Amino acid sequence: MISFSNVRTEWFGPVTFDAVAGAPVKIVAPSRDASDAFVRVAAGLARPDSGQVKLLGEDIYAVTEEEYVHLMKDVGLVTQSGGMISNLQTYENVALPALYHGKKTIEELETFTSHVLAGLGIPMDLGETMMRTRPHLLKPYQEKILRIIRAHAMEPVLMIYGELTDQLPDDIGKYVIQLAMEFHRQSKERVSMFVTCDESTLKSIPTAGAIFLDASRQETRE
Amino acid sequence: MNTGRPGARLLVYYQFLILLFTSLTVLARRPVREVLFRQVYFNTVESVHRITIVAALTGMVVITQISQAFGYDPELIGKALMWTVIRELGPLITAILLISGSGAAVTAELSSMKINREFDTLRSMGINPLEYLVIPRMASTIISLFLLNAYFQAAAILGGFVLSMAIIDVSFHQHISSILLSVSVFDVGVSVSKSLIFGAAIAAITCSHGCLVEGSITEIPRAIIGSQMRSLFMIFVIDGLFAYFVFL
Repeated sequence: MISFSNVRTEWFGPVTFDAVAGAPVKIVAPSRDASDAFVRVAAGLARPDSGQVKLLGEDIYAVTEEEYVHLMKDVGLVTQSGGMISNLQTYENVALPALYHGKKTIEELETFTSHVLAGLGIPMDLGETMMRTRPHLLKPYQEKILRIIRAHAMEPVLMIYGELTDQLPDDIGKYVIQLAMEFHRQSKERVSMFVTCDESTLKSIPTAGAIFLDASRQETRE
Repeated sequence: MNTGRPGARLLVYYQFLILLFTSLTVLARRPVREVLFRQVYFNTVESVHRITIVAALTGMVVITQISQAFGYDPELIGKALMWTVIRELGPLITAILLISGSGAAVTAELSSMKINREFDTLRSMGINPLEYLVIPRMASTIISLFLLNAYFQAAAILGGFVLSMAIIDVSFHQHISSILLSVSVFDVGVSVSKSLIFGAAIAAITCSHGCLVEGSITEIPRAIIGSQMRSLFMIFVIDGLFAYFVFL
């Protein structure tokens, strides 16, 4: 599904691992910059100094632009910040990839979004206000939740979360992890990768161990 | 590619045009179609008041100048409007207005999205930014210039007549019939061809300058100025080529 082979950047490495289908994976970075760099490398957005990244069986930095874009239809990405299209309303941002790839209809997206927002305890009128505004007017936690909804709506086989609970209040952070794990369990083939620089934020995620990007801690890798 | 050299720059414009004509099928996707409609609305409806005023004043200037120089001759005015407004000024002035308005906006929008990594955001969602952002903007520029040109000509003929009534004694019936007698399919064809070719050139230049921005936010004004100057230069070159190959 996703594998790193001796991948090195100025922020981390060398890193080698192979995530198998169905498994949640925790990646612990030595810093926020390293965490961000790892997410960008894993998503094919920043070429590493050395090593090979395989995504869905393809060397992500050896494929053509067309092949890359095609591969990313099956990858959900939630970066620690940013990631909204500034000239679209929030609801257009949330709906864009699922509509573009024909994975959900507008009605299905509305139901899906309302369900998640209700689970977070966000009242319907606030939810509607959030969806009708421009992304830069959202609070950071609102934006992050909507980016998670957008990524899940694509029904990807690989989910990459960068600093998932960052900027979220504690109760919402817990719910978001629960949401991510529920989404993970919906498909046996799905890989969910949680990247963080604060291991304690992901302690509720049931994995056999963590992959450490800090070279000094790599011997503790399981 | 070093896009600083004129030859390399022309090659980039050509590549953008090829991209447009080979990717038109993406307009069938709903989100892309929405961008296209929004851009056509922005380019046409939101600038219609400017076009109306400029067109009416252009028509008035042509009518009053011809009348002052040669006396009021409906047939001559009809021919003069056909030569100037339909063949030349319609496509040229609407192109200039489009470059200064939405052309600048397209370059600014694309370049700021590129600098803010929104192209990467789209790519990471499996959406080709060229297909989602550039193709509908290029198509809308061509469609809009065609529509604006047709509107400009109607507004110049009618608005020019209305404004001229305040200055000289003109007859509406004579005015319209003289224009209809003077206009030929060839002239309309030249005008339509010019507006489509100008539109394609402006689309390629404004979008490519927006997409090729690298580095910091300070590059955005440079990209806008570059796209404005080159778009203006290009439409005058194309207009000159039209004059040479079609009318000589």
